[in-house]
Amino acid sequence: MNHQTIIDLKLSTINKGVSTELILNDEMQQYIEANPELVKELAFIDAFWQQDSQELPSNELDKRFYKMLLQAQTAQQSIETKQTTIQLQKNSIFTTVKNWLSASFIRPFAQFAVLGLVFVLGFNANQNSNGVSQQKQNLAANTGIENLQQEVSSLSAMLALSMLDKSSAAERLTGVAYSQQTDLTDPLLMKTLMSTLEHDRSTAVKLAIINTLNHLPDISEQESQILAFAIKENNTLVKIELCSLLLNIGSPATKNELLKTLNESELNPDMADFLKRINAISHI
Amino acid sequence: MKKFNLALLGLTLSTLTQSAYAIEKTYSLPLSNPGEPVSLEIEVHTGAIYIEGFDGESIEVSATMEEIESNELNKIERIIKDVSAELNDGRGNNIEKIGEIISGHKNKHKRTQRSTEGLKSVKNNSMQLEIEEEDNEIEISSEYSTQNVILHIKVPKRTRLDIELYKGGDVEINNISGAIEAEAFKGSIIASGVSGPMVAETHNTDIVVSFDKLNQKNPTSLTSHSGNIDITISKNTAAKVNVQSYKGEILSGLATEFVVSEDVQRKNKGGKQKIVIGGMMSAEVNGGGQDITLATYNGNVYVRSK
Repeated sequence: MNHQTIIDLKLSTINKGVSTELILNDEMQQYIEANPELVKELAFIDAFWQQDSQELPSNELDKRFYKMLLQAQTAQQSIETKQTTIQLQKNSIFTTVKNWLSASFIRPFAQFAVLGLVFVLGFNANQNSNGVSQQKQNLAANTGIENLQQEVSSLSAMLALSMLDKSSAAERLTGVAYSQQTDLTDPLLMKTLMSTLEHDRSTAVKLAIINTLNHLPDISEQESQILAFAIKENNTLVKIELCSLLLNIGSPATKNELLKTLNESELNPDMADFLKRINAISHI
Repeated sequence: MKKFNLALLGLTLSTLTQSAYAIEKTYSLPLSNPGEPVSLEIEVHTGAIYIEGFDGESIEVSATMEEIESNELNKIERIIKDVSAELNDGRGNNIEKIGEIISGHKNKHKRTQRSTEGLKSVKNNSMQLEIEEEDNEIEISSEYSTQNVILHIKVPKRTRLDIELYKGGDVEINNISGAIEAEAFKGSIIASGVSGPMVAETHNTDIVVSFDKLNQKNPTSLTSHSGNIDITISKNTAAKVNVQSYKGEILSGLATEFVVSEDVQRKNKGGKQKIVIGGMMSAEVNGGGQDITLATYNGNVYVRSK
């Protein structure tokens, strides 16, 4: 048994259209449980399939998807075209030299001398040509990889957006997990995450979003919003995590404003205790 | 002294709490689409909820409803609020103060007796429990704060549950393989023989969950503000267990060690100001798998292996 066996079974189950749930024997179940990367792959197939089967994407998502697909195709075609051109140029040079050397009027000595010269020149030229073509190929490949990475990130963002809109908290948590797989530069995704952070009724979802924001190198664009949430939040766990986020990676001005507001507020015993610890640490 | 105060409060409340009468009913709802996915949404204001998964294709509901007299209920709520404030202020050792609050309420809220001459008492039968089913989606609700509703429900094992209980007792769930969402504001959430994903939240009470296996499609997250969280997973389950306890202890029976999770390490490297309060610990069990996140502020976290 290998990964492909399980994935094939999954796809076959989906294709039958009855359910996306796999019916597994013990051996398969153990194999899946022992391979977390396979678990993620199956989860992705599920999420992607359910996205298709449960609701149609909005026009906006539809347009974005086809735009991304076009970009990915263009990037791939660009790499292929460049590789084909390089190959054609190489063929052309070799054919010319071959024809010339096969001409009967060149004497053996001259042939040998010319061959030696061609070898030296060819070696150097090839070195340069290899260097240049390698650079071009690397550049093209890097651009292609970057584009594809961007597409994957955009697709994860689309999945995240879709899952964050679900009524089930477990699915919204999955949406937050997908958003962690993106670089969080999608403005719509960030806006949705912030809105979910403000309004979601599940503490678990809010905590997961705060954890995601913790991965950002810079929260300057979201700082004022997070500060407002931290001040008005009534849920102690969420409030503490929001405050910790700002105190860890917020700007000095925001930290000061937060501490000032907390120190002036009437806090419940848990928040008061948290503030006491923060005040103690900030004096160190 | 605090225990004594609470005992006094309990005694007073028990004399105030009187249920007028109880109604017990049973219902059986066959599913519209047998074999298809099932979902059950329950919203109960006061009471207790017990759910059991079985192999049938129907929903079996047994409901016991008893009236709580609203005047008394309001009185109890006011007393609890004031006494809680007194205890939270750290002055809870003052027995006289607690006594004053209770007797103050008795006098303050004493109503003038109205004449009942020529009138006879009419039993209030307006207690309400709504049960709806459409295309295998079942909704059960009792949003009245004046009735205590105890529900025993049997559902197909695959049922997806969404439960909210504001007051009263516990939520107990057994043998459910579908997704579970549960929120209990005053009682505990106790589940066994479940596979998740499960998102559960309590305020002051415990969450106790024993997983048969773990759904790898969606994450599981259990959150309690002041209660303990106690989970048991089977030895061969692959999972990434994340634990966040601010004041409580973490007690683990896992073979895998808990380590400080990555994001906290990153913060330690870059930040000049190191603030680690409630940092997350993680253990990748059997190579890691879907996330199980356990977060509590005041409670302990127990992670067991079976």
